[in-house]
Amino acid sequence: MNAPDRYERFVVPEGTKKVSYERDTKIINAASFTIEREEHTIGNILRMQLHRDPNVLFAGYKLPHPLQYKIIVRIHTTSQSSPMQAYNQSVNDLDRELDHLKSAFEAEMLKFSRDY
Amino acid sequence: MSSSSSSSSSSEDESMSEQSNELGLDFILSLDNVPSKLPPHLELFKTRVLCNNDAPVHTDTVQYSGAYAIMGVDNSVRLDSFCENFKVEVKRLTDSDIEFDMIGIDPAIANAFRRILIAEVPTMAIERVYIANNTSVVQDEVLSHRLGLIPIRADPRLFEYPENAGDDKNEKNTIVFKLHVRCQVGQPRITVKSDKLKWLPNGSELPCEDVKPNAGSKPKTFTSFTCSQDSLPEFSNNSIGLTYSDIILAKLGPGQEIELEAHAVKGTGKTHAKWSPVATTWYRMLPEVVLLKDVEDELAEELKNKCPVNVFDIEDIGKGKRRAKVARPRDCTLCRECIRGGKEWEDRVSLRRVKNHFIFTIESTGALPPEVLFTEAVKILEDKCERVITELS
Repeated sequence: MNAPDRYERFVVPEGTKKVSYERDTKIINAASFTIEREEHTIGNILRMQLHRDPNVLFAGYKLPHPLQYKIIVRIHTTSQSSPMQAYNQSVNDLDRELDHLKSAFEAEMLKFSRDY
Repeated sequence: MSSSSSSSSSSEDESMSEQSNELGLDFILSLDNVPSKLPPHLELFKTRVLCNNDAPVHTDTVQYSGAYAIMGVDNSVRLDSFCENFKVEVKRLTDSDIEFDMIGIDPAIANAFRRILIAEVPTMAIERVYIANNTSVVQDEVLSHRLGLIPIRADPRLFEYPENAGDDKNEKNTIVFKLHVRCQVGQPRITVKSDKLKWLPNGSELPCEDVKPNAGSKPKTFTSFTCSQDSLPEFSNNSIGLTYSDIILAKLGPGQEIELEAHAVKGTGKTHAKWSPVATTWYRMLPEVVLLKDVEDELAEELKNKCPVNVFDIEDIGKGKRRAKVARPRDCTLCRECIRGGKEWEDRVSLRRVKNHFIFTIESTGALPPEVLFTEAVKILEDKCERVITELS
């Protein structure tokens, strides 16, 4: 009936940016990143990765509404860093971790298939 | 004398504070009286979930880098330390499922893989059913729904997503199956199973209703294949079919008939569960059973009999004495049966879960082997990470 199309959950509409950045007007070194068409899958690991950074004072994410297919990630850093820098570093680290994880899994599969 | 000593000590303090400002945390950690690691009780709370009789405690994962800063312990995780500590161990692998351990990762990553495997790894599933004739008792829409849920043995990586709401159905994005069964009059009822679905590598054979065929020309069908799918090299090794041939679709009485064509396309579980490549996938933290005191003789026997999954064994320790030992902690379901029966049992046995050790299980529906599903999930997560950083403006 009036249900939104299922593809709206993962197709970014034309003219909409996948990731947008908005600085906080009240707190220095704080910003919000709006990531379109993503949910807990990326939000939770991004929050986790940001928490590992010693320069991050606060990191959290929220889904504004179940029918708004976006997440808002909020980052507050020390003066030694900036939210943009922390965001970039955490995603890059995550990418490298996943790369290592994949190669470790493939190596283990190779070893397992040889042994059994 | 006293004034000179005080002035020298104050100058020492100043130089020390300057030094600490320059060096920061590294300087503080190098001091003699600063602990280099957490005390044992905090280490236990950080790395284990304690499963007490009433409820589990210390369930949260301490992720914040400054969580133990007051004690001089740096809790931040760097890439090199992750790479050092991370391990994968495959425990069981069959055609349809895999069980492996991931050691040294965060619950957020384990959960991301679970979510991606369920909803974001693509597969092929029947999306459109063109029914030419259905006189069975199963309604058209119910039959279509049942067909949609049949797992298809076809490598989705060899196909493209359908474009423009499926207008252009070609050999690169559509698999066509045909079902034509009839129960003859005077014959007993027949059961229509999924093995009756036949793959049509040349595409659709049903003529489009809205197009009048010209005399002599081939009637226009629902697909526009430029070549046969079985002539393509990628399908020579990976023949297309159904994972299971014994799924009941309908039952036909005498004189009843079903004639239809089913078109399978690529999609993800986010759109509909029929595109989910896994029957289910789950993870659990590694159980850890610790005997805090020696449990001997009758108590050992009682403990062994208490456990429904045989976690404990009894060993002889000489002089006619026997002692309980933890033989199979991995089998523990944390039913807590062994710690029921009073405070004394809680003091003897401690049930825990290791927070960074995940036992991951993937049950595939058969489209892709389970080990391939996991590598695909990792690739999808990597793609997501790349997208959220490259498209930042």
